[in-house]
Amino acid sequence: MSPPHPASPTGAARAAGGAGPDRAAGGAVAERLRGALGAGRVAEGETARSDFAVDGLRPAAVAFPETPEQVAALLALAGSEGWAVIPWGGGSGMARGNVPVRYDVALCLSRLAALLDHDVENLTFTAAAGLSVGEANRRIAPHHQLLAIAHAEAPHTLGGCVAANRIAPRRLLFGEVRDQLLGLRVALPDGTLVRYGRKVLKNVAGYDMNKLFVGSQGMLGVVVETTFKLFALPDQEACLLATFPTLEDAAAAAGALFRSRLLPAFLHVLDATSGAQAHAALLGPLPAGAPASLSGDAAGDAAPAAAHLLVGFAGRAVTVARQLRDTQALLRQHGAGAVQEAPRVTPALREVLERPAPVAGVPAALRLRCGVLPTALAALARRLAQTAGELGVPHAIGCDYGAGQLQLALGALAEDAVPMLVAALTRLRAELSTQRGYALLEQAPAAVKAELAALGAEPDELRLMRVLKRRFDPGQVLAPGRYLSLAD
Amino acid sequence: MTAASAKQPALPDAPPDAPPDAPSDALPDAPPARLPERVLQRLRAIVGAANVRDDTADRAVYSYDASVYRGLNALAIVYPEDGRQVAALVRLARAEGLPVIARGAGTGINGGALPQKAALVIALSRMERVLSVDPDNRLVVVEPGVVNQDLKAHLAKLGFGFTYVPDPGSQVVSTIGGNVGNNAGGMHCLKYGVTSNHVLGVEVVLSDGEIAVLGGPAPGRPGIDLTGLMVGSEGTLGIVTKVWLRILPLQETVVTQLALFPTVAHAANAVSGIMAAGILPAALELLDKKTMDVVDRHVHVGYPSNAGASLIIEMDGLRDGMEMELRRVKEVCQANAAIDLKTAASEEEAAKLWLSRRAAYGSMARFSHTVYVMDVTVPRNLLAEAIRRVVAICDELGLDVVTLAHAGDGNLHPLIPFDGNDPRRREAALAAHRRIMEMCVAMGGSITGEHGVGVEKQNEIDLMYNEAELRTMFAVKEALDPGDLLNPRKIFPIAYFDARDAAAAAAAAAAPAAALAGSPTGGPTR
Repeated sequence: MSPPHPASPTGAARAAGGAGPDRAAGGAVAERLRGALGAGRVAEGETARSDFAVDGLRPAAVAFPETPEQVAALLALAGSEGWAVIPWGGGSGMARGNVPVRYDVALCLSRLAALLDHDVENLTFTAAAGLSVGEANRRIAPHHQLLAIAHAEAPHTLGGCVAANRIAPRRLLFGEVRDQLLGLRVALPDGTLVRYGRKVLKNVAGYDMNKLFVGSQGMLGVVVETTFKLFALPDQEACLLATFPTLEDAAAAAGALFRSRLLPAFLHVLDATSGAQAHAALLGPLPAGAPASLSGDAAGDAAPAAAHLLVGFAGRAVTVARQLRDTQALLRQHGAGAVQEAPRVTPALREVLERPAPVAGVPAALRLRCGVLPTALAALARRLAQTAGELGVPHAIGCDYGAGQLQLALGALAEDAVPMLVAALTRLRAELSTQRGYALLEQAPAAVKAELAALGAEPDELRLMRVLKRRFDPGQVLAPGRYLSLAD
Repeated sequence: MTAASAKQPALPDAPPDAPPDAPSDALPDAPPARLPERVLQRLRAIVGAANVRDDTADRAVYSYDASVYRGLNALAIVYPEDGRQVAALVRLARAEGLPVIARGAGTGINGGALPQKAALVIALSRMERVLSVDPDNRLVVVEPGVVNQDLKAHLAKLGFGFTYVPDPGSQVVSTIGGNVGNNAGGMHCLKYGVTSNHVLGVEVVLSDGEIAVLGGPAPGRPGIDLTGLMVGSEGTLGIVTKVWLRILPLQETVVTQLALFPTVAHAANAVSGIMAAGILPAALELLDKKTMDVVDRHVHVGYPSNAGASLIIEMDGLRDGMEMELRRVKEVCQANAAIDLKTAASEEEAAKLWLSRRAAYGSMARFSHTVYVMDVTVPRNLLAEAIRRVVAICDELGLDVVTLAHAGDGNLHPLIPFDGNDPRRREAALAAHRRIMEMCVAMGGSITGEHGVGVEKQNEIDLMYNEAELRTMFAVKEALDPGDLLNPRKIFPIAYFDARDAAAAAAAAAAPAAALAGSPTGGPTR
């Protein structure tokens, strides 16, 4: 199996920042790894090392273990050698985190992809962590079941979804990753393998250890096996894409749906830029100059659409049909212009929702994800749009209303814009903190990461994470410094 | 089990009217008779004189909870009114070397609220304010002493059309704090999940007396899911003093049905059939024949004599499509030889159908001196087999057993009635419990689904986890509460604590300064 396609941000960082100082000479590390794992499971060529670069820093070698035991052996070896290891799933979340302080071995889980148990009657699924959600669903779908931790075709790995605590796209129906996760097997930094949870919905035997690894970014251990609960595959899916004169109007309509007894699967409030991308992904490009008058039945909406609301449904045909009807009426009551119906979330639309682009087709230079109260999203979006305007940088904003998430994507930053941006984000974090909100850098140029902690966790939470990190990984084998520093 | 039970509070030796200060001979350390007046004064300074109790009767009361166990008497009971008071109490306790136990309503049945060491009990029952209700963001913030049912009633009265979903059987009295501590389940977990799925954040007092706020309203927070770690930690990692909870809009329609089947196997097959049809009911509650008999004698349901199992099926959601789903449910029930399928025509009728389930524990109490309530899980599709084996195990040991189950969750509650004054019957009940837990683990399930470990299962937790797994779990306890100050000697095998205490004593002997328990977080200066 070939290594996963490197995430574009990594490539971008490499192009922007160069290869950076490689710490260990490749030969010695690769040699020791081959001894422990076998020759076919280690790569040290230029291409492999560049494919697994993190923030421009390349590992000395890339390991492709094929069993949980090999993962554990690798970690034990790394501990005794003093190597720094960064685990990789599908790679799409690797732009997160501070610039690594050390990076000797990339631990790629792509060959750990076995489906271990699909208990159809029990609606549970166990597979190795390197399996992608898309591949899992290809295996599950014939049984009319669904693994709902990510979009059905998503390339994200099962372990990656847990470690990154990805927002589940249809959380309003199926819950978060943490809610669907039943069990984990984890390789700890000292080389032991542990298993927690079972394929049962209820288990309170001791601490809920699974949660230690949800969102852990691999800082406490490497997830090698996952068990999730499954859902019945919805008979039907549908979306509505509506235009609104302002973000506030779109958010108010989303709020009305969020309070109602309807059961939407998702509610995305999109600015003009990401809305146009969503439109193009669902229905083809917006005709120039007439962004809001496509449906024909929305007479008099001459104003250009500054915002869009994308509402998704999944379930029985009759419940989807009823909700489409009621929602269209509700959207119009809330001032929607054009309202268009589309069948389902396509991979292209998924890409827009997960990674809005500041300019269509051009990857963002910086992506910021904020979590706040849903009712605070519109004001936050307006504020960040203003900040981007002041910086003179193209931007796109998308909000997952039901999850209280806002994602800001910025175009290329001029060097002199960095201090202003850092100051603005520092102020933003301080303000969000008072409401228990957060602002996480999903991706940023090294110049920004140098000034701003990528994670942006609260001091209380960082204290506890440090305590756990010291206990679980005193030798700092796993991703040292990427998410928190033990030196503070 | 015999050796284990000698170490932990045994099943009740003393009748309830025994002298309250009767020595609890099951425990190794005799508690000091009283807290020194100096310490009592400091407690009073923190919470006010009226909120400190240390008279003999009160101290004895807190040696009990709803379990069949008894702990040591509390040293004193304090009733703080906010997180800052709790933090001050923990700092004082830490300075004095006193363990602390946070307590809600005491309805836990694993002995989790019982003092295993002479301890200060922090009763959170007076922290019972609903701090904010925000339906626009599907959020409420509450103090831990709020009673589960009171929160639901409060939300209903506000009329926003929202509710807090989790409904453990004890909901009329149990508190949100206790629900969080035990990660309580309930009747609607199949569709809505357990308590943990509804807790968005917590304010928690750590073992060093620092207040930490973990989590928040939005998911996907950066870093480890510390809120999730705290939920279900049974008060051994921190004391929860404020909780952010998710509330949900009420469903447009709720339909409650009661189906009767000739056997448990038929009912369990129907459960699998309903799920296989792509239907996700809100609740699937199963009673076996003996439970039905006991309930019938108490609340007079009038089950037909050929009914061997009953299943409450509750469906909720949008009106549209409900009729079709109900038709499918009916087909599945008929295909599994259902004797009867009643649909409640009103909320009152639905409540009546639910009464047959909710009255089960109370009915049992009318017929037996002691009822051992067990709580185990298996994969959902193995439920009928698990119940069959439970009956076989109890038959072999000469015990009676009735079994009810959250069938959709594979969570079964075998109830064993026995005479608690008869040591042989007690031993038999304990033996049955051990074998039932072993059986469930062998079937891929868990030794506890929703009641927790406490003291009841601390010496059986190794059925679930090997040494490395248990040591790793214990490492979390040692990292966050190195002095075993918070709800001491719970969850993990007693041998772990004995070893820890011996090591601490040795360290203290070597260097007295090192005996001070290390701060888990390094304190606020970091």
